[in-house]
Amino acid sequence: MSTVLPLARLLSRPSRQGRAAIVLPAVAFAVTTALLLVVAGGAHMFLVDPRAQDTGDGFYGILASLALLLLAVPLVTLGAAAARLSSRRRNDRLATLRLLGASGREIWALTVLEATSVAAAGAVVGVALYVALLPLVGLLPFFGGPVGMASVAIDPLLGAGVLVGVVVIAAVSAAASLRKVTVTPLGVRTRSAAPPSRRAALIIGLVVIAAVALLIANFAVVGELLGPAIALAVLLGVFAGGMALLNLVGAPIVAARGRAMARHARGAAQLVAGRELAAHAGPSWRRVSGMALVSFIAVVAGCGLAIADAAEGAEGTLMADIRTGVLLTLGIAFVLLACAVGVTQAASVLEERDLIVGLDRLGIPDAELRRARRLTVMVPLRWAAIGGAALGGVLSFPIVGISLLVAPLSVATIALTFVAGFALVAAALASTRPIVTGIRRGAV
Amino acid sequence: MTSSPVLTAAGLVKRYGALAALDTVSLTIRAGESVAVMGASGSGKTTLLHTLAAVIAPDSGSVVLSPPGAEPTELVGLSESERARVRRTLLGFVFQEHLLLPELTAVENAALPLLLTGMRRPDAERHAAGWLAALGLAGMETRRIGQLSGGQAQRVAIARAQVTGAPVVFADEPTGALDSATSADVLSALLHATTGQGRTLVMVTHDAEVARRCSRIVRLRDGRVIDDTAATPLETTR
Repeated sequence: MSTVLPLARLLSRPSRQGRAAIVLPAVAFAVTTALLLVVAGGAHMFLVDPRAQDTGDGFYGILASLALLLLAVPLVTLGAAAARLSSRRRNDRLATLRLLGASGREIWALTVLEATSVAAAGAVVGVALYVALLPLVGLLPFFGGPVGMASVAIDPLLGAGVLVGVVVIAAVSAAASLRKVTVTPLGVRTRSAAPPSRRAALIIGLVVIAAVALLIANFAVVGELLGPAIALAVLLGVFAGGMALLNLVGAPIVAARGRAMARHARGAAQLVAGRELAAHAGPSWRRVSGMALVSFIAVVAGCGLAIADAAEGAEGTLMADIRTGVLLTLGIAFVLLACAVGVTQAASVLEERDLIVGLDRLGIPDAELRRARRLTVMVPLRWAAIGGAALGGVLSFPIVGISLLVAPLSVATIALTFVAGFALVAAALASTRPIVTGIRRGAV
Repeated sequence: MTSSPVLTAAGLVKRYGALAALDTVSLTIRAGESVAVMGASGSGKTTLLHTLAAVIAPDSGSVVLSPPGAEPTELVGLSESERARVRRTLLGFVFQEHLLLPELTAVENAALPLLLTGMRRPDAERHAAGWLAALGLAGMETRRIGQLSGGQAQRVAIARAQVTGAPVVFADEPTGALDSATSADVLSALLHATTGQGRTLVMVTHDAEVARRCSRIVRLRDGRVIDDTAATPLETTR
């Protein structure tokens, strides 16, 4: 292990090798840290600010903490993607080190150290970004007016905690993701699990979702039987279970969609993307599964709030604040998702370096390859959005129906947030273009 | 009767810093020839192949591609996208690592260049299946690349290189990753698919056994052509 630090120092020397591949995760972690600091500062404010106690009776704190928990999911995904990118970026070098006698453990430590260092550097930049953003955050409307910079500025101790938390999550998810990667003297390979059984997953998923919908429909009875606090906990558990089930059926749906796409493809891009989705449905789904969570929240919370729009006085302020909070959480979740997609895509481009070079030699147009790559991300993303929204709709069916009738404008606002979110993910995909260009020119 | 030139290179120079990878190389390749380019590591053989195939642009010199029945095209000076179009429509490539898309079936891989030219998929796959059958892969059209042996995968790559009817095929160590028996079979398939159809093959190899099955051997050293002779069965590495 004593060799890890000197090796890490040697490998960190500047080179032509994949600058974008190191900048991308660093930027992603910087943005993530800045946003987490904003949310943590906000959550802290909602817990201690007397205005929150006066207006919401502790409700603000619970919702802000929930938002913080929700954002941890895309953060873990991002950490794992950054680690995978680190190992791919150093593909040849790591294999050479193995050839020269470095142990698998040393290579593992080297990769985790590098991924964690990139995360730490990004997190430090994120703090600066947060400080720059703070005046804008102070303008956010809560409690009936701009909340004020002083109210949302994070406590330094809490800020340090967030910083350490980001780095620790990056290190842990890096270590976990590397269990699937084998570095041998001949190269770096990714172990892939067998595809899930589609029929079993679909049947289990549908049965449990139906049971959950039945439970929600009779929530008043459950509340009477168990008491309101336990009933609320059951409800949250049920929603979490619903999301887990969606993840179970997500990959088989993507695989089925991929097969259909390949079967009916008329052009090369659709054929390549369809076959790619069918063969790697699990990773394709996981890359965008955060979207299902985002759209689930959007439908359940957004439509519920749309109905509550009619409320006045303190209750009206609370509802307006929750709506702002929901839109903020949606926006932040989209940014995190876009970061994770960008980093994962960069790793996958580096994994397919030889193939990209080969296809370039064959004269395959860059635009066609880009289209295929875009399809492999956007198709599962669309299904994740539809799946999350459909699940949210099924589980809160009466609220969704009423809100569409009484508050179509609020529903339209949420729909627009989705359009912006999709555009953000497309922009993240476009950000990996310099890596592809570098590979084509032989610079990476 | 001597056939007409299909590829004419004159005064090619390509430098990487102080290193001259190609030092005023001139070469004329005629239709129907099979040319083996040999030389030690760093002699410039891959750079020559890439320059002739419009993968990279030389610092100076000229490369004229004269496909039968078409106007000659000067490749030097073309933009990146124009070079890509030439590679896609007029040239074929076979690599040491076949570089096929593992998710696609054999016939889909072979049909890919045709799909990129806008051909309808059923027509493209029918045409590709014909080439696969000609290369001894009938019945394996729907197999994924992972389900094929190294030699079979390389035959799919040959079909992909030939499916557009490219008049010139470039091969970079096409048998380098194969055992000797499979190597001989794949080389026979490659020659049959190219010179056997009146097309031209330009192949980089370090294997004298492979080179002597070509009609001509060009040897490079330090970026210069040091020998350019017809191959004979007695040819050995110098």
